[in-house]
Amino acid sequence: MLKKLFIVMLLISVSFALFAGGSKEAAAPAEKTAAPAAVAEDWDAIYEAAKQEGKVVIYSLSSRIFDAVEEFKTLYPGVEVEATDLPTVQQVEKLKREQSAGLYNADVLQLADETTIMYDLIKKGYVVNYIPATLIDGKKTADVIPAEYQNPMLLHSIEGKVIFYNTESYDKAPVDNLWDFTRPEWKGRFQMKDPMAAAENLNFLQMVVKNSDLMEKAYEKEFGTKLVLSPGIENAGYEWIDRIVKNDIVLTSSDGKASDAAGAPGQKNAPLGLCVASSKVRNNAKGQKLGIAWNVEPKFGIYKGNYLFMANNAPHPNAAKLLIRYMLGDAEGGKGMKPFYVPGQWASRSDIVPLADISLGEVAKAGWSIDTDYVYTEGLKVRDFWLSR
Amino acid sequence: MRLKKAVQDLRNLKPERVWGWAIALALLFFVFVPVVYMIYESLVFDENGPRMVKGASEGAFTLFNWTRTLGSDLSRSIFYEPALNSLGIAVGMTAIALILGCLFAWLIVRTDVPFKGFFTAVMIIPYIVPSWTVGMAWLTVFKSEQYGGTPGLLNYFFGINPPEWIIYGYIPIVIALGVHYVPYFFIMMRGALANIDSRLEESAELLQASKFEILMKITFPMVLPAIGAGFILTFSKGLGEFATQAFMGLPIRYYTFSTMIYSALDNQLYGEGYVLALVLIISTSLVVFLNQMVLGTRKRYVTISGKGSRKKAVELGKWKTPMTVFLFSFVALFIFAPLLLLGIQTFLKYEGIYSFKNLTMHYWIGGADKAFAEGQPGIFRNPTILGALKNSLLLAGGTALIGGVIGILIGYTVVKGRKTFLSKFIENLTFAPYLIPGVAFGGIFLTMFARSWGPLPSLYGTFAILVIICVVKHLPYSSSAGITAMHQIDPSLEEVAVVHGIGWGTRFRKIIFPLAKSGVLSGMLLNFITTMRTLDLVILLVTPKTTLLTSVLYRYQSQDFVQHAYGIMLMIIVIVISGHLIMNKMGGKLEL
Amino acid sequence: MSFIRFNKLVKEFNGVPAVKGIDLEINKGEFVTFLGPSGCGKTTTLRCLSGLELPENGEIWVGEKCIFSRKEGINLPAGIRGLGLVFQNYALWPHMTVEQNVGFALRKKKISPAEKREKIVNVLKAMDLCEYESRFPHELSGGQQQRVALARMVVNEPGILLFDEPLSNLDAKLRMKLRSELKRLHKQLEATSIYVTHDQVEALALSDKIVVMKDGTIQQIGTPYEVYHYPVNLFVADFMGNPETNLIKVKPAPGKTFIPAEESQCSFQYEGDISASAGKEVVLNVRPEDVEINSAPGGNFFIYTIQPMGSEVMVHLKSISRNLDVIVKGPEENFLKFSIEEKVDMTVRRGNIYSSESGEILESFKDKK
Repeated sequence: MLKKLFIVMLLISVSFALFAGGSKEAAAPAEKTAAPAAVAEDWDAIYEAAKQEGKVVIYSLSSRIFDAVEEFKTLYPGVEVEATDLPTVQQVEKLKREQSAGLYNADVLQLADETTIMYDLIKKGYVVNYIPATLIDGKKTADVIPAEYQNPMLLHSIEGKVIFYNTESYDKAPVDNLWDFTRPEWKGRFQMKDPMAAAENLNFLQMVVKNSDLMEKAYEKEFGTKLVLSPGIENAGYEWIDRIVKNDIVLTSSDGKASDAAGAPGQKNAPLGLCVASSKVRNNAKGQKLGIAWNVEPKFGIYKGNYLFMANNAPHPNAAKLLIRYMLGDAEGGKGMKPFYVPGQWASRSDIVPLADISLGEVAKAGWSIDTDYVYTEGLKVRDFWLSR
Repeated sequence: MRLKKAVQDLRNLKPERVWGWAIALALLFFVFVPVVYMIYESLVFDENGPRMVKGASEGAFTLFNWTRTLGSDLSRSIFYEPALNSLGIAVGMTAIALILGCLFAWLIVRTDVPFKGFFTAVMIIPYIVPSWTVGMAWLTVFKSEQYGGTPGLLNYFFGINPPEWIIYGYIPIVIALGVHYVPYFFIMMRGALANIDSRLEESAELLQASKFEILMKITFPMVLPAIGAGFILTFSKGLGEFATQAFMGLPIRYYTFSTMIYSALDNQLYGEGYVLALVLIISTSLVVFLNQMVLGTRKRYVTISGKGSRKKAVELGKWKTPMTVFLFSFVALFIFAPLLLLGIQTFLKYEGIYSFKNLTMHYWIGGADKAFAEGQPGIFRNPTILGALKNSLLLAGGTALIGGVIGILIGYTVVKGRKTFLSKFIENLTFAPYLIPGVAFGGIFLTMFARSWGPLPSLYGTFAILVIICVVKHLPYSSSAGITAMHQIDPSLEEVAVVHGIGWGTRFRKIIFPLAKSGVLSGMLLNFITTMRTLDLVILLVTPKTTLLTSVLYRYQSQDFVQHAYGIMLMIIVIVISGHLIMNKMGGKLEL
Repeated sequence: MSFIRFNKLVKEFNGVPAVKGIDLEINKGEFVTFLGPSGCGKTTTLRCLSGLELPENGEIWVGEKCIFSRKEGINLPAGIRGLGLVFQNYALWPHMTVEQNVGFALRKKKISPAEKREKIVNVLKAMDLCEYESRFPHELSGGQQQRVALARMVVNEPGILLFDEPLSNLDAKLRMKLRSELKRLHKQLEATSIYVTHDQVEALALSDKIVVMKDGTIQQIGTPYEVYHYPVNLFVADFMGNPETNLIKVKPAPGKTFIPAEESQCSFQYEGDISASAGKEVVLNVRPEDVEINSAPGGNFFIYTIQPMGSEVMVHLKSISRNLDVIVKGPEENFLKFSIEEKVDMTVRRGNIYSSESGEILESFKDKK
């Protein structure tokens, strides 16, 4: 018996030793400095080189990518596009694991979740922030994409995570304050995708907590009294989370379910949903009755970006450059931008006219942007708080 | 001493010893090492460690994961409640499966209920189709508008919005899983009941015992070991079930062990995920161990010896009609209705509107149209689905083949080397994957094989890793099929060939394999079916190039492309049922 | 010159010895039987010879060739040892026809299909199996299956035939019939044969030489006559009884009288001479057919039962104090005159005397007739 135990212990310790050795071996590549932007590029030469490379591999968070790359194929014969639609979490996972194993498959990434990008990819050197100096329509990048959208990460487009209401049930937005959701009339009638499965919804909660002072003021505005925190709760942000949970918030397994519930026609008393703004037009085309509550205290929600990166050690770097430039589209919202140029979504290029009810500037004012540092350092506390409710 | 003997044996080059050790080493590497790796990972900070603990560095030794999971403010919601839920589900579903399975088996084997052939044939279906079939069909019936998405049938036709506890959570999960495991008990009990020597019952009858007395005092105690073994296996499976619990639990934040593990691993909280997985492994092992203590055996089926002679059917009398109706309603409601419902769903242009105007073939054969499913083409024109179909078939076929071959090799080694260290070692180790929850197994493979191990290159993203994990995880089936098959071959049949100087290759091809064929085929069939419908095991491992039908299904389901999801579901069902039929033709029989 | 030689052969199963250092020599062409109760190591010894078991120690020689030696590290694979083996359950491959069973066993590499076919047909003919060649084993009777097993064994013309209790699954009549066929087969092939059985009748009927084994050791090697009439120890004496033998603790007394140890008032006579055991307490082995009984009103024994068995009659005697039982057997005419409860005296005509301590034989006696 003792001998057996001894053997098992021995095996375990040997295995441990192996892992310890292995993890060093598999250490992530060191952080790389971002590629310097705005050096004039010879696009003909890049295309020639890309033809030599033969193809380019892109991972995108959206299935719209297949549509987006259609025109690329006709523009650049000889360069094949291998597009894969893959959620951000999996893109990150895949990229990290592949590169740790010395495999370099991806060239271009289109993904979201600023915190992950910042801390998991950029800081660890898995991606390169490549910025073409000129765009496909010849414009200088610096002229049409604001600097804050170029560094540290190149923004492709922005989406808002907004509150949907049913325009048949309500003449106008039935809520004007996040605290409305804590009222009895919205009990069981506020829906969103489970934040445990949707980073941006968790981000929303995190921003609520971060901006607890705004939340406190909004409470006073709504109820006219000072907020009294429940025992054990730290601030107004957490208080709000606690109250919406107690008010039976409904969690769906997808964004679509929440917007379907809010938008289904023929409802008198439709619930509200926190959803991606751009789905409004698409769903209304199917007969749904969605409206967006833009004017909500303190903010309507969050907005989050989709970003473009070149992977570290991209196997087809020139083709990747071509593709990234293509993805940034032209002033008409065409080329790689087209499928993403829809109402509720804003291109990073200032020369593209937004199709949404409000401009990008207004969105930035009325919604929260995601504070990656805060999410990184404090975010898990919010997650734990949510989990423990 | 043993080592010395092993070396000696190697020198004598008994082929079963050579591959026996090869298999043992492979098992050690693919089963034991991953568990150790899990323990290791649970004892160091993961990459989120520094975010949660000031001054922590990734990879440093810590008990943080354990204390956080088992003994912090959070423990209630991330550990104790999910654990209780899992336990409750396991108990509930096992009870349903046990009661219905045994009842059906008794009715069909021992009584005079009609249509026995039909019932026997269809009763197997819930087990071979994915476990979440009933669950998904359930949702299409009971969904209410309150929980997002389009409402279900009940709402559409009658305007009824069922309460939450009917749609999601414990009750529906237990029912859906219970139905899935009914065939499990049904098959086992059918075998056990058929094997009881009816003279035992007849002699009791001569002593004027009542039918009920005979059932309770003679029949029941004799099949008790079979029931016990089935109970434990189902129970421990229930602890690890994933898909149904994800589909029917997550919408109302009803977490269980396995969904919690998935959620943790998916959120890169590896430490937490592995702590949970280890606790689950320990509890399952404990259950199995207790079972061994109580029943003194880990046998999968307990055959009751005795000459099964012609049996007199128990006459049900006035119970005959109600029982027949009951059987028919079960078959109709829980076997055919779900399949039919899912089938209908795939022809609805817009989900939830049940009118002829709303019918379409678009989701099967339509091209890309942005108005539907974000431009996903119909199933038969969808490169993602077709690729996944190819992958799934390859994976299931490959796993069945490799698993079958390894199973027979293991069976050979274990049976030939009765009572040797190697034999016992392999027999026990092949059972171990059973105890490791699929999600966690997938997760640990993901972590472990992102790097190279000696000559073994990094397997991340390869098809090979899927094959390996499926073969390893399903080894309990393969090896038990192999062992059973080998036990049925008298050793002298091979020895006589040895004496005639027939080499082991020929022996294997011409004697062992033909004789073990039907047993091995059943093992392969089970491998094929389980691999075809596996989700939890592979969900963390698939990459765009290696997508499987189930992983595409899971994604479409969560993206609300329900027609696609149900269509894929039907594809899987058609494939497993055809596989089952083909194997049956070839002489394989589904053993559990 | 011995043909097969076992030299200090040892075989263990997981540390438990099954064969404990056996030395044995078998001559070419001999029919040798390993006889003993189950677990005595007879089958194991056979399997060591065949190469199916790997002995722990010792050597096995066939002719001039060492086929196994632990010391030299020699272990010839079973297939090239040139032997044939018949198992207790025949071990016919159930998925092959009779012809395939024999054909698959035929291991001559360079042989044309026609020659192969001829060989098979010859063997089947010899075994009287021609009409069954396309049947499967389960379609044959036990005796036919047995013959297929024999055919399969001899198809390669092995120099050594091994039989592992080949008749024990058959009914008595068939057993008898096949026994004689086996004996003829052995004569025809002139192959050295080793036959394992626990049935001493078979051993006596078939063998040139019987090897009696117990607990992994050899007790006695001898001709059937020797083993039957002069068992070297009490174990062999007891085992070779048919139906059983009488083992009586006695003390020889003057006047050719034995006094049984359990009995003070009772005694019986013997014929023949003993000297080595005079005055000692010894064990007498006397076979039932070697006892004579005579009616005597004051006799020391009485008739307990009489069982006619056709040609013979078996009589069960008890001493007056009922402490001693003796079985007597003989032709009808000798015993039918007796009746139950009748008092008798008995005389032993022939017997062996064993030391009660060691169980070894001390001496034998026999009447002069």
